Amino acid sequence: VTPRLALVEDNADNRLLVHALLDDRYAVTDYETGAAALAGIAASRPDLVLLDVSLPELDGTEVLRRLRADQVLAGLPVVALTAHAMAGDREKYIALGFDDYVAKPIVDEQLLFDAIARHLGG
Amino acid sequence: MLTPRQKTNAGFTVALLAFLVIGAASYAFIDRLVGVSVAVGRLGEVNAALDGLTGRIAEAEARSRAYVLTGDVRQLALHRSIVEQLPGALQRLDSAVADDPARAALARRLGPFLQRRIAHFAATLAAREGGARGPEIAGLVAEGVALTDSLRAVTRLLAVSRERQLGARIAESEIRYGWAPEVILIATLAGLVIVVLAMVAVNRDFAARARAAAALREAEERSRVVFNTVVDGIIAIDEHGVIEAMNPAAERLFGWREAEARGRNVSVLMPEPIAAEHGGYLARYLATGDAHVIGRTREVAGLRRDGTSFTMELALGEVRLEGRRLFTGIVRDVSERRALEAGLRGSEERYRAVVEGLGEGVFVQEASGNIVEANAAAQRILGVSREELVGRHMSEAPWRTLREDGSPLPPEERPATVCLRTGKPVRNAVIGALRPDGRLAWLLVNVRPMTWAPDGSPAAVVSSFADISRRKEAEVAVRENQARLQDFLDAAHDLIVSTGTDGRLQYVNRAWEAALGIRAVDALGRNLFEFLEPACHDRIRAAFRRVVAGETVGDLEATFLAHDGRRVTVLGSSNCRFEEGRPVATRSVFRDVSEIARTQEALKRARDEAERANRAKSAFLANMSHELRTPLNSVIGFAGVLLKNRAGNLRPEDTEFLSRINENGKHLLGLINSILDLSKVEAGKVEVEIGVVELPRVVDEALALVAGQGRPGVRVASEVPASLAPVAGDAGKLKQVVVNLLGNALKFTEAGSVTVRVAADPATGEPLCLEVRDTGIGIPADRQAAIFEAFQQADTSTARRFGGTGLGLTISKTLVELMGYRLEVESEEGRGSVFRVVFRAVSGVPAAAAPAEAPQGAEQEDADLRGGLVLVIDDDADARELLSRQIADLGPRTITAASGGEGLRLARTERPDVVTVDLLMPGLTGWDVVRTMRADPDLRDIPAVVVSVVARERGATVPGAADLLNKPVDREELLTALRRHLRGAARRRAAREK
Repeated sequence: VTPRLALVEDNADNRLLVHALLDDRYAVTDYETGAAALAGIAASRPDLVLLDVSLPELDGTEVLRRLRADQVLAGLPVVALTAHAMAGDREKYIALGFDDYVAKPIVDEQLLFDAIARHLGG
Repeated sequence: MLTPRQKTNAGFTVALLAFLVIGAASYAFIDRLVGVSVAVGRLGEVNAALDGLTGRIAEAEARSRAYVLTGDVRQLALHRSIVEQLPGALQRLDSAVADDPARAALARRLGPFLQRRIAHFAATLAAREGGARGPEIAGLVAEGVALTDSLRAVTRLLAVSRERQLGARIAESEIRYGWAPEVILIATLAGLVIVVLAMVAVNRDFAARARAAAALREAEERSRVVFNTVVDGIIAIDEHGVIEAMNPAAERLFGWREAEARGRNVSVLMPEPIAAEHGGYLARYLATGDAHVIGRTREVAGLRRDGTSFTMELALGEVRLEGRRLFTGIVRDVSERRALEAGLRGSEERYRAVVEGLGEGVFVQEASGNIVEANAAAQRILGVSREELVGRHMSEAPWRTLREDGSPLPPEERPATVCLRTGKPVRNAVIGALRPDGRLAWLLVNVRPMTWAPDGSPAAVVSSFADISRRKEAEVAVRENQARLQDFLDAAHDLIVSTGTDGRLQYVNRAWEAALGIRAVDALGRNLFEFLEPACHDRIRAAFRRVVAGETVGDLEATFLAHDGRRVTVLGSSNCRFEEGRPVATRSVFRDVSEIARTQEALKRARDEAERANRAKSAFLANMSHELRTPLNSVIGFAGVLLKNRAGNLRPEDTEFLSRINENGKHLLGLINSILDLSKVEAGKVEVEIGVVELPRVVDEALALVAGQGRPGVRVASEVPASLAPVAGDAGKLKQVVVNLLGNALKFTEAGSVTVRVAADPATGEPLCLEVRDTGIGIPADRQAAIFEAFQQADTSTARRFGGTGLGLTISKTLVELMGYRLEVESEEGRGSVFRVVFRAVSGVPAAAAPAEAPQGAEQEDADLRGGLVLVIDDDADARELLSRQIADLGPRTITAASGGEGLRLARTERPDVVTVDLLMPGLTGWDVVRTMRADPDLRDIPAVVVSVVARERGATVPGAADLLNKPVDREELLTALRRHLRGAARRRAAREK
């Protein structure tokens, strides 16, 4: 069974890139906004969420907060996929509750694969 | 010169000679005359003798013839008596011609003729008597007549001669008689002269004798008067000691009448045992001539007739008079004088004792300048011996004199000299005496004349002086103290105000005058509240009441109104001075905080502004980072996807191009990351979180991160001691640095090795440094400093050859320094480089090089440091953090407090070994903190180190500060201060543990 991933990303290029990288392995469903993502995730119950942080309107941290606040979805692995990659950002997002963090640009796709694989194990 | 006696003798001698000459001359002359006269007389005599002889012969002839003729017997008797006279007559003739030899011879021839005639007479007469007559007789007669004729012839001869002689004599006499008047005149004149001279001489002699006699009488009279009236008793005794005379004074003295005493032994005037011994003395003297008592004045005891004895002065004299020896004694009753002298001596001794005992120095100086007397205090005060004072001239004095102002005092201005010169007392002169031992004694001198010379000038002056050095020193000390306090007050920037309890200003300092533009003279006496802004009156009044009640009110804020209406806001404290429990005056010290308040306001605005700008900058950076990365994500990502060439339809050059895109995208990303990092660092937005860092782990992780970056054949090694103490730092940042250094080393090393090494103190395992050593291309010496600057690589060609952003070292250095450490480089071109993170320097020697040689003392000190706990009090977060890290870097643990209040609280709970405190803090200032600590028995022992931007300028105003350090803090100064205070703290700890 191919694991199902939800990709929350407002940038079409990035969505395309992620698909190019992951379509071989995962079934990736795109959401362009936080609101759409929350609704879709609640409905489809994916195995993992790749969540961009800088989203229009409802941003990634808020989406995460709401997911964590949802009793059903609270345990869902959420990996931050973000261009906020300045010193300390990783720690910041981990501290916010993301299960993992992958900085954009994705210099090495293996980092992405590893991060996803780590949280799909169980 | 001849004496009168000699003159007289000479006169008499001359007179005598004159008389001799005249006498001799007269004698000779008269002798001649007498000679002539005698000769004439003798001629008469001869003639008379001749006549007597011839007459008698003729008589005898006549008588004889008459008898012959007559026979008358009477004729015969006559004849015989005449014949008997004939020898006598012849005799007389002889004697008359004795002086004429010729006639004497004739006269002698006459004798025999006369004898024969006389015999013939006898024969004729005898014949007649026999009866012959006539012829026979006639014959005889005729014969007789013939004889007589012969006689006559001879006598005639004699007479002729006589007449001739007589004529010559008379002629001679006539000549002499001619001379006689002159001779007699001359002789008479000479006699007159001599008589006159003799008269003169004799008269003069008589006058002299008369004068001498008069003088003798006068002297006698005088002696008598003296003898009788002299106050001294005079007693004369003979050689047996018997009194011969006593004068009235002696009578009075001994109570004896002279008449009664005369004839008694002088021993009655002597008490026993002298009386008994006196005879012996006298006898011995007379026997031996041992005259030691003669001519000397002695003091002996005398005895009055009433039996009382007394002390007398006795002078003995000896007189030899007409073969007798007399002794005179002159005695004077000195009992009273002795008693008086004894009294005087006692008085003088008392006086001397008083003078000697005086605390004041006293000395007496004569007009000559000689010091004749000096007491013990004088010697003590001047630091000289009596020998150096007494008998010395003032100019020899071994001390030098100074005026009160310290300038030399010339000898002629010394008080004693002045007094001697002017005759006026000198009162309360203050002079300095520089003693022989170098000490300066200040003297209060009084001098007054003591005795006077006949001309009215002082003969001697007495100086008394007290050593007022202590007083003088105290005066100087008080003066200096006052001057010092005044200087402090004048120099203080704080406003210092004192009021009475009624609020009237008693004192304001210059700072107050300057701050308010009001002169003290215009303010003093007026009420403090006249100068305060009405709005603060109630508050100040309340505070004033508390102060007057005895409370010290701190943090007192007030607002003065300046001369020009400016408001001067001050902050300070106030207390009150009490005397005998009553409030006397308030003391207030205010700081003009108007400026500080204004500055703080401006600072706050600036800070807010800066923070706003900073926030904006941070946001901008974050956005830019985000926005730059987003497109790069596509560039790198898609290039990567394409590079996989899943479709297998790419030509090799296409994959090469894609690879270029991918690599450059990554490089661009690296640049962006570094730039953003650097921006953040330089904006101060990088925060290092100091924690415990395990270096082995950091090294391992860093090595893992760079694994595979090196060229083939370049060996990567690590030398990390097994037991290593942790260091303080930010693990992530430190790893970033190590990765960076390793990356650089690998990048620039084409062959050889890259080694990570940690050096540690072998004793404690404490890391000293971490170094990354390579055998790469090295860095030229002149570029070694520049490589830490942004975008500076050693060579522009390097970038092309080795790549890299040129920002890594800049960021690394900044991060290392943020952690309080140091990043240094050693390099030799072509041989390799060493980049070293120095955690702790050891005595200036590079830490890695000689940890083992670290001196024991330093280790001990560092042990002290490590054991210490330092409380850092500073309101400024950055300053606090920085100082805390600097201190921690040196070894001690630190805790921090953001305000004075918090600091004091922490100090009480945590008991740090040292407190550092900022001065300028809102609320409780550094001054307050230190003062509170010093007043708190629990905190009193904790050294308070003032660390402030104004520590140097204002530090002196913090009593009780253990040390003063200026911000920014010099590492060495900090180390020195901490060592000093922590060593003490370590000792205190050790003492407590015991």
